[in-house]
Amino acid sequence: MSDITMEKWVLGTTLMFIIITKFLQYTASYHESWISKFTLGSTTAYKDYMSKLHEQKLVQEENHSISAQDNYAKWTKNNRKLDKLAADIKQLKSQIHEQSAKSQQLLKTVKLIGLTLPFFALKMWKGKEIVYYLPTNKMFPHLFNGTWHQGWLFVAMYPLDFALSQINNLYDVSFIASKVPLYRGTAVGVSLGIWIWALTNVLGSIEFVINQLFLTPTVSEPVATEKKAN
Amino acid sequence: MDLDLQVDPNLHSLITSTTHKWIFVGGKGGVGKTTSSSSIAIQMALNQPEKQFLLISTDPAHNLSDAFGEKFGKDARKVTGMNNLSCMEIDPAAALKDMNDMAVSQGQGAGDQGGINDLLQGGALADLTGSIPGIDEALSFMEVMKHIKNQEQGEGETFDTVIFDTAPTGHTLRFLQLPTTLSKLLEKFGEITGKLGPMLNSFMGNGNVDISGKLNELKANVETIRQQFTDPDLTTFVCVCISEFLSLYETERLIQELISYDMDVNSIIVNQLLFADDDKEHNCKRCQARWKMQKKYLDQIGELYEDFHVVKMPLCAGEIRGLTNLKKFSRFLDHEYNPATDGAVIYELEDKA
Repeated sequence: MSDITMEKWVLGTTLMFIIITKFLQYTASYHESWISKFTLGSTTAYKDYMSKLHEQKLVQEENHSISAQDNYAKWTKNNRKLDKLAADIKQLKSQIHEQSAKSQQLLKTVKLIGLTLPFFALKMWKGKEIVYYLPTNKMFPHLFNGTWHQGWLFVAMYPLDFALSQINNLYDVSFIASKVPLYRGTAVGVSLGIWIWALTNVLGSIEFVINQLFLTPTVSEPVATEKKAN
Repeated sequence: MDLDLQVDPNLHSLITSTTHKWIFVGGKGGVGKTTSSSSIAIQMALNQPEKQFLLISTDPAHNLSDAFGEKFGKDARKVTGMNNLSCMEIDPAAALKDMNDMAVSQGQGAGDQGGINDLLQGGALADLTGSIPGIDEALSFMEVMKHIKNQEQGEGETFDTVIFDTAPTGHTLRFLQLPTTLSKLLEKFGEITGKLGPMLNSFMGNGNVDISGKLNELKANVETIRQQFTDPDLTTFVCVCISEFLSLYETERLIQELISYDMDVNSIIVNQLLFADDDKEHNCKRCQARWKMQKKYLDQIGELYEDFHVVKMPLCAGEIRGLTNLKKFSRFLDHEYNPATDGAVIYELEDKA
């Protein structure tokens, strides 16, 4: 394989984006708890909520430990307290949900602005630049060579490419070819867009294998039981 | 036995009140609600002879007639022996059903009786709105109010105070939350009609069913009633119970529900008390045991309802039926029962059998 021809910073940035995306994907189940710790942990609503939950638990335990008939007044006062606590807890819960929803929305916005959009912009800007060249252009058919070199758009343009190549044998259509991005090169390179696609697919396949081999619980073979003869 | 309470343990302030227009008497489980409501009505009528009082039962299983020993119906009639107390027994749910059936059979609002008939709109709107919590109670109640108004027009005199012997179901006053429910519903309606516009009318069949207009009207009516019922000078709720766990538990739930409706409730009548400590002549082990249990709960009531008028009424030797017995019994609402001096009364009830 040829040396890498792409600028190091582009490759480095691309790898960083891919690593961050994968990290966010693997830790998706923890995001909510992280958000709650960082954003809600210090808020008054959350502290009130936790203290009222604790108080509710204590009052419930006290009510369970006394006889309603023998200590009717205390039991009823506890019930009144529990009703009020339940109403307060419900209100605080909705406040916290609102705050949490806002924080999650903020995280989504940060992810969009800090990761998705820049990554997309990078792919648009540098997506057609070649990361490295293949040693020979005879490894793959022309369709594949064009796709590796110019990206997925080549697949859509391939019928036109094929037609023009046939017509070119009879007429000079170089003026068309110059306007349309058709692959005519002799060297086959892997563009950044295709390289990103290939890398994420390989990572996905590795994830699948590891998940299947090590993270999926084994299912024991069912054992046939003999029916008792009547 | 220490029965000392900071607030007067009687209903004297209510009985002599000149501002109260609506008094509700409620409680569950055969606690003496009808006896209490009849007693309150009688005492008010005796203390304020210049005013007219109406005692109305909305319980489908009426027993006002049994309490007074004379027949009452859905038209108000004066109690025999009293010039300023009338009684009426009305089943609002049945009346409403009759009206609805009539509206359905006629295919339109029955004549031009306004209000509820317009709202029913041939039964269709009743189906639509039947699932709104409180609406049945609101319609029933407005039927009652309309009936009272008709009685006043028929008799040519207005009732200064109306005492309601409410049904034990307890949800009679649920409609007080209706304005809030209807406001939210009307908001949604407004959004839908705003988006769909005239297309909605074409789906509604004959005539123009202005649902949101009718609901607005209902909301306004209920709001007017609600304003009166949440004014503590005009309306109060008297809870009746007995000194037993389940009754007190139900009373507590009722009081909390009434507070949530912003309704004034500051009186509790505790019926069927034995006062066995003061009854040396007629006593038994069973009475002593039950009285001990009742006292236990009485102390708890005192602790829980410090700001309430807690009126303690005795268990009498016989049923309290007929005007004479009710008069004897109802005295203790005005001036609290003293077992030491009033104990003989419980054996003096006339036999109404």
